[in-house]
Amino acid sequence: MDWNSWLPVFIVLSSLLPGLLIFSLAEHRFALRTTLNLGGVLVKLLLVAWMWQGVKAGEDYYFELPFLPGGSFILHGDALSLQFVLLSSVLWLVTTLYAIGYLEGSPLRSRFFGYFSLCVSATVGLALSGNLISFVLFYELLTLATFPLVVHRGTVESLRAGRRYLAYTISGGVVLMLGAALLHSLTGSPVFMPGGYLSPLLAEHSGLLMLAFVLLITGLGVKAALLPLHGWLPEAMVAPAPVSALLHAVAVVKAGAFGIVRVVYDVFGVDVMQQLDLTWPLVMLASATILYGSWRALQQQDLKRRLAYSTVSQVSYVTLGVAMLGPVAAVGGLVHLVHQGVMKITLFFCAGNFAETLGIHKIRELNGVGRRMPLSSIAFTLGACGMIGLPATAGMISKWYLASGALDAGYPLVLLVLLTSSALNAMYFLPVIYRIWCLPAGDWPAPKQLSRRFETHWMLLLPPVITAVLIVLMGLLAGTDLSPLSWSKLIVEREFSYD
Amino acid sequence: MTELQTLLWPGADFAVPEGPVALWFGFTLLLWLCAGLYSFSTINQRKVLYWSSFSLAMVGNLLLLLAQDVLGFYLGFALMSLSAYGLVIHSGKGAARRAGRLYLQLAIFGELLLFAALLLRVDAADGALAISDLQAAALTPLTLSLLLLGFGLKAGFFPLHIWLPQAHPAAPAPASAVLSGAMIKAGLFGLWQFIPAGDGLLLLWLPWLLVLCFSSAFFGALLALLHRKTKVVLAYSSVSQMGYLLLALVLYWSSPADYQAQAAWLLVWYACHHALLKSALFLAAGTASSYRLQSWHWLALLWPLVSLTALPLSSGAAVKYGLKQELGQGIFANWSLLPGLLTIGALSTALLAWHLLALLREQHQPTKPKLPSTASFSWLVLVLASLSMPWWLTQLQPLWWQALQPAGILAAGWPVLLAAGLYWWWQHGGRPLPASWQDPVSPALGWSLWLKSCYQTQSSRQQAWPPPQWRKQERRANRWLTQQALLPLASSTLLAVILLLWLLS
Amino acid sequence: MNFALAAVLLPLLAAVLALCWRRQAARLVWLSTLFSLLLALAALWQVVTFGPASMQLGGWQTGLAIRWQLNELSALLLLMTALIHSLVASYSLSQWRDAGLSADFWPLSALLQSALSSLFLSVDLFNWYVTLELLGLAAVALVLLSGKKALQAAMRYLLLSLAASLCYLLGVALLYGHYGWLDVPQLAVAISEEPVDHRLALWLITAGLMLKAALWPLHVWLPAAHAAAPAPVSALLSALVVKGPLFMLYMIWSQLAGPELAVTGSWLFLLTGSMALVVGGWSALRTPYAKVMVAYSTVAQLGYGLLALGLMLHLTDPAFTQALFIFVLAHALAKTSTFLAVGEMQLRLGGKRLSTFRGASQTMPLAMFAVAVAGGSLIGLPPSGGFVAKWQLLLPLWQHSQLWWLLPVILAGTLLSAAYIFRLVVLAFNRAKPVRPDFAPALLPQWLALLPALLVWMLAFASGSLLSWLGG
Repeated sequence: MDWNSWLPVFIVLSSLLPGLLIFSLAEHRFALRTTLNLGGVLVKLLLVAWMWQGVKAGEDYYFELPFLPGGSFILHGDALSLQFVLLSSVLWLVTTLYAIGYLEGSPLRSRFFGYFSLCVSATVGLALSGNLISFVLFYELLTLATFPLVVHRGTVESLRAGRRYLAYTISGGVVLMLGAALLHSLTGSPVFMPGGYLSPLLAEHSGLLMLAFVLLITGLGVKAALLPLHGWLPEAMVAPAPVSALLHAVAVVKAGAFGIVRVVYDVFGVDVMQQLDLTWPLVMLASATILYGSWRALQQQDLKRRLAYSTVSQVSYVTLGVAMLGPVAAVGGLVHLVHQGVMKITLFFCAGNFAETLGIHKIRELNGVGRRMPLSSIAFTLGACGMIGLPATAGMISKWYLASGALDAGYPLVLLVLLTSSALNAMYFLPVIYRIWCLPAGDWPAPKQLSRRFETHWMLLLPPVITAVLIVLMGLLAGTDLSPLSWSKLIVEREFSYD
Repeated sequence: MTELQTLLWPGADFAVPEGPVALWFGFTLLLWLCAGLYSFSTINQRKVLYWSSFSLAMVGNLLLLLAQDVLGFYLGFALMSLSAYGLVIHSGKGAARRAGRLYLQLAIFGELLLFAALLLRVDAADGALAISDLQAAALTPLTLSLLLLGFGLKAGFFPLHIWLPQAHPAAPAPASAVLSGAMIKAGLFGLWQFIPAGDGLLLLWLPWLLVLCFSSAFFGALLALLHRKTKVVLAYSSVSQMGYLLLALVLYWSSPADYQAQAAWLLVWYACHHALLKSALFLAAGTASSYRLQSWHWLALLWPLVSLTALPLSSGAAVKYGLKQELGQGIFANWSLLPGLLTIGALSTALLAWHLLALLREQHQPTKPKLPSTASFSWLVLVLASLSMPWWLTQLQPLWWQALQPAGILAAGWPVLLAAGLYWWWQHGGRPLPASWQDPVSPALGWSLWLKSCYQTQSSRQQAWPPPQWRKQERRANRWLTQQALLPLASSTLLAVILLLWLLS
Repeated sequence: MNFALAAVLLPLLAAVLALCWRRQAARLVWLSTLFSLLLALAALWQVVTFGPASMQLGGWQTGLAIRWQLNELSALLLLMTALIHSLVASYSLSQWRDAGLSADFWPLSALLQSALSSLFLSVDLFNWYVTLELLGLAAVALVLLSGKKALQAAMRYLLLSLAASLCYLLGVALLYGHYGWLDVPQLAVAISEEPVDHRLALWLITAGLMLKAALWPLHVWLPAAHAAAPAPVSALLSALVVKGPLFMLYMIWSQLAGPELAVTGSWLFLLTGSMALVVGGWSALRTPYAKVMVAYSTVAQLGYGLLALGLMLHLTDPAFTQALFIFVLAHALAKTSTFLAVGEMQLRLGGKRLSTFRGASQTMPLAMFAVAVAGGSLIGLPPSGGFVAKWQLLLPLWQHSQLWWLLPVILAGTLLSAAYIFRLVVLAFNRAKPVRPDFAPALLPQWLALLPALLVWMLAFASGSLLSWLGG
């Protein structure tokens, strides 16, 4: 058996199998479920680390299964996919911890963790997909696996949000499928390759290519929450905190953003994008989304809603970065894929902690939380600083690369967009931080004592602390070989070095 | 130091400062230590907030002086600016919070402009991240104005000073001391480091900057006279003095290459002189407002004022003399108006000093508690450092000597005496100012409030989808279709289909 | 060929035996379905290894004899019939006492299987008539098993079915009167040699078959009949019975219609197919009853079949034949699963309305999962069979830009099907006021309902060989 070709499959299975097993567990089997969960995570991390060093050394991980005429089911581990795989595996670890603490004593945990694992499997599979068809497959699976998580609470609001989520994502999925079918009918579905595979068709079918691009971006834009298609995201925040965290940081929105990266760089390729003049519209769209999301976030009084609109804005940084087609901007976009994930997951963890410990949902209820829950508050502050793009945080690094990339690629106005968005970010995050630290403690809606030694349950506290430390480390130690920045540079080097 | 790059962020580089920068680093460090010592015994509430902000701001300030690369500098600068917010709002009172809001709004705005400016500079230098590599790249109007705005908002010269008279008085005394003594200097430091001297565009803009210097100097002094709170007066004095510091910087930029090193030294001396005296004065004002001033305190209070008015023997005399001298040598040598303006400036500064002294005397109450001895000690250290500046800075001594010549004494002395007379006349003989002129409220606070109302709006609820009104009709139609009409409908459709197809084909 | 013949005759035998030996009817028929499944597999193996075969029943020569033909397509359909029947039989066996299913179900279902199997093997107009009639009668009888409440629906079904048979017979008579052939390949040769105006005959046949297959606008009888029948019967009707006439439509149009007429006919199929997709989907979305929803879903899904047929005639591209029959397979599996699961849930939760399913994800997770998974295939999510069918439909369509208007239609159909499936799924996740089961749900029926859904979900990975068999 060729170990290298099966490794991507094992990486997908390492969360899929525990997930399926967890479904069949009875509700009270807490220890076994936790073991399965964490065991799966650890195995996955080991496998991913193995692949990481292999890809770095230039190994190729390729798995193929006949699937449709003209397009096999392909799992392929390359540098780009590993960026996303690594992000999802690491954040899966912390989110699993968080979810175990968060859901302690609540019903239907087996179902929750089952879908949770399926969701991660779909995300990882999506990251590893080697061609458009496999990508579409996992993209749809992701929709299905996340839906039960969104409606997990089973309340009227969560069902409404779930319906809305489905309406958007299923439509997006269908449109994506139409686009994929169009491309498939033209060339089949070859493996994603740097520089794309569509340049031979450019002369004959430019109109169709453009149509395909519009369809693909529309389909992906739903999940990436691009401007007119973002409506599901703020609604979906009624889900339990770990789900929102996963949805906003890793699984769903990132799947869309990652798909856009794939389509732009590995399906169409820089040359075709430029010759078809597709760059400008995408940059405009991303910029509009960035500004609109930030603007709407300002108007929200609910903490999670504000974070949700912030996601709308921040995810488009990734789109913006890849759309500008310059190597530096691409580094910015790719690194933001990771940075935004870590920062947003911290914020959502903290929001969840505030809600669980003190019953806080509205921003005006946050007064003086800093002294009652210092660690969560520090984590929140760091996450918010990162979102604004203040130095010493991960956000600064991505902002710097995006902005210099914009100048480099000849989009000086994008700089203005980034600055405005940073200002808006400051406007909606700083008052929150002000409330947390500088105002006297108010009447918290439902204070609870979840732990005797810590401010809240340790499983709720540890994940945001870890991710907050990561935010600072990724900002300060960006130059090391292990940092997402270095890896993004490696990706860009490989993506741009084709001929 | 190059291996830092592989550990920290890309291009990261720090170095132990040398030459003028070392002096800058030294006085900044001294200021922070003294202020820390003073705070140690005088800050009694919200200590966590105070000390975390204080130490972060200090780290930021020192870091930006050590940084050799753009990102490191920006990191220090942002850390300093934003942490200082905690110092400004420390008292938690309404005025402090309003001032803090204005401060933070402008600080963030300044950060963003600075970010853009640095980015454009790096882009102009083809992605080089070391500050020394940026010097070769030419400025564009956009980058120059962004740099001036970004750093100017921190440096606080007119008309970018609007936050300064609000924030400095709101902070506790030691915090005001570092704000005025060290932090606003950081803005100036940035201008000095990031704008290459001798750039063509810069030379074109210099006359306008000169206008800015003098308007700042006069505006600050005049506004100070209208206010009756000592710390506000001191803050406006800072605005005024930043005008002179900017002048020193302008002279540095305009100086010919062989004279540049000297000009740089003069800038740093001026910065050091002003930093020491202003922080001593802020400590004095703070002490006067909440403690009893002992007799030797008055001496410790007088000396900085002497230095401020540039009376002979003080470091002020030396640096002012140096400034005049340089003004006479550079490209502004034949601008005959300038020496006169400087003299008027000296007069207004002297007026300000008398005003301040009067206010301090008015404020003094012997019933207040005694100042803790550590605080006294740190204050004394600052005063002594200011006093002895010509001794430990041997390079300053020639200027100091020259200012001690009779002509120098005369030139420095008569504005002070005239100001004393004028001030006495104003207070006792002349017509008093209308009440509405006293303690004018800055319009900036209103702007800040308006800005806040822009971003703290109530959320507009989304319109719910209107419920469908046609449910009843649909139900009726369904019932009719499935129960009464099914068979006839089906058979007639069948016939219709056959007929239609036959006829059509 | 022998295996296929046995697969037809075995259920017939079982039906007769079950009639005589009613106590053991259930087990007998169940065994016969399992054996016929094996036989069908063997027949497929035979075709794949030795190639197509045909046989003259009764030993008469061509033209007089009843000719049976076994090729990849018919073997596959035979297999599908046997598979669905064995699944449904297993399901019924596992819960027929709970459900109060009449013992008459067993012989009737065996008769149905026999009739359908022989329909798929025949290539003879009259033979088709006979099997069609048998099929219709068995189906009506099966619907009647529900008792009095199904009487009206069953009677309508019977009447319309008879009318349809008459139409068909009239058309066949016209053709036979002119050419003297009933055997389809012979008839095709005769028509091409002596082209006369045989449109009327063709239209009559088509209208009859459309009515039988419940193709829009002649679908009106279907929702009531399928909804009224017991769950296993609904599954058989929706998954298999409507496919018989569809298969005949395909055979007749692809072989008997000349190229010119084929294009005219294709317009009919394209238009009715589009309408079926949209109108059927809309009705499914609006109905408050669970089984009616699934039945309307059948009407809508048959629209894909019509579209594929129409496109095949219009563009003469074999990819559409593949699309048509993969769709038939996928729909059969998915619909079986849906009907069985919905029926099971109705039974346990006690109610016909969709609102009965509130909280079903908690109370009957497996059955609900089956509905969701099968629904994924109905929507056309990868890697399900529905996806492959739609994919095969879409791909060539992109290359024929004159038919671009079909794309939004397919899009709308997909979205509508997603809407009605997820309407049910969302309800099932409603934990606020879950409907409690009347009695404890059994696991085996739920698993049996889930099985076809899982099969169809994996269809894409077998699509390579499927497509090569259907390659035409």
